[in-house]
Amino acid sequence: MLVLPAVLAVVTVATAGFDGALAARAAGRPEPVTVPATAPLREAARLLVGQRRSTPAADAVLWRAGVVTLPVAALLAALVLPLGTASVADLAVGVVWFNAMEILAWAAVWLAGWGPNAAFSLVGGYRFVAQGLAYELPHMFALITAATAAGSLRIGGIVEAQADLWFVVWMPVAFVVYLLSAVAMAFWGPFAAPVGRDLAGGAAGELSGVDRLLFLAGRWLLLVVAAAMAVPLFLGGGGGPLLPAWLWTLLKTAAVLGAVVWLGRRFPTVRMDRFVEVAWVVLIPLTIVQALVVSLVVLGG
Amino acid sequence: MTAVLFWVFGIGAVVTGLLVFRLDSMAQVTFALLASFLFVAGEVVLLGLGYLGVVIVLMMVMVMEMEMVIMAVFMIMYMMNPAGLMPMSMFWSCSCCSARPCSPSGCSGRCPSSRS
Repeated sequence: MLVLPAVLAVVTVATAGFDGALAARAAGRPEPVTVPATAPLREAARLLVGQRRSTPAADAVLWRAGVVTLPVAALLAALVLPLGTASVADLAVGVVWFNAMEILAWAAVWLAGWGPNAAFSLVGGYRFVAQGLAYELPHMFALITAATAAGSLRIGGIVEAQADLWFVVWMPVAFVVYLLSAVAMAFWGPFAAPVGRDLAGGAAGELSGVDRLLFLAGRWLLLVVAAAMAVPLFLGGGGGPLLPAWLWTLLKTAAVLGAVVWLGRRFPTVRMDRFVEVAWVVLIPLTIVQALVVSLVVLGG
Repeated sequence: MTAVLFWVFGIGAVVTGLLVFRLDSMAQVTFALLASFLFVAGEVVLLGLGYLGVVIVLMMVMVMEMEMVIMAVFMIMYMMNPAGLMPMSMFWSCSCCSARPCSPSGCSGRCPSSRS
């Protein structure tokens, strides 16, 4: 129970630091790697002492609610995330719980965009709604595929079903779509349009001080939790030779996060309307076919 | 514990349900309704129907909230006063602004008396 927030915090700061180090290298700044790697901590300290912004005619209740909901949703989703074989709560409906909690991000980002009574913020919030409509259905089909193969909605059951063969081997489409939608869910990298620079920060544009810290930390946390869930869903959880299960989980999570962050920096920001089209015309049929194939294998085997 | 949770969820659902009719902001009403549904989902979980309860959370946030959030765009486009979002006067003459003297450009602002 207490281990989870600590591990998540360390992994989140490390991920943000890794992203900063990649950014520094891409920009050709000749600084030692410790400078960008510790930047998230320095930024957090700066935001903690910063003043909170208030705007005229803001809807303070909804604004604060949205900002707080983002990290809380990520934490609640992480409750079913197993470290090795142990998770805080291995619910019988773990997959559904995970999906229900991460979807609170929709409400959170829209509220954070609506609250400050500012045009760019609101546009950012609505961009995330459009993005959500694009990524959510492929995401759910990917989740359903893993649950179908295991015959269980329990995350622990899904891990046990991969004792012989990781799901990523025979459902690669679901795996790739899952990671894609995980990045879109955390509106990060190519999917950062809701907080895009062209909107002067979008949904996060009017946030400062501790509000901004909560919102941006919640966003990184969401990326970490969503990417880490790929390990029990598709990569065999804590399974592996020699090393203990918790270490395998951490290693696989670090590998997934490293790949996601590195790849995410390779692509430009995607426009929402284009991504919606790709999602509905390409990704949804692909994931449905993937789910069908897996269902037939399960029925035949 | 279960009894306490039952009453907390139950009273929460009724109070937030009543707030739907008392708040004057479209956005706050939407999320009061969501809160009411989430409390009901808590009751369903207490009944031992874990799957149903969690699916209510999922579906209410996803389908209902986002539908209403998108509907708000159309309400703002087509409605004169979408749930108090844009308080305004329907009269564009000086007579509506008794609290404000007429300027040469006329009375183009909102009526201060129409809504506090």
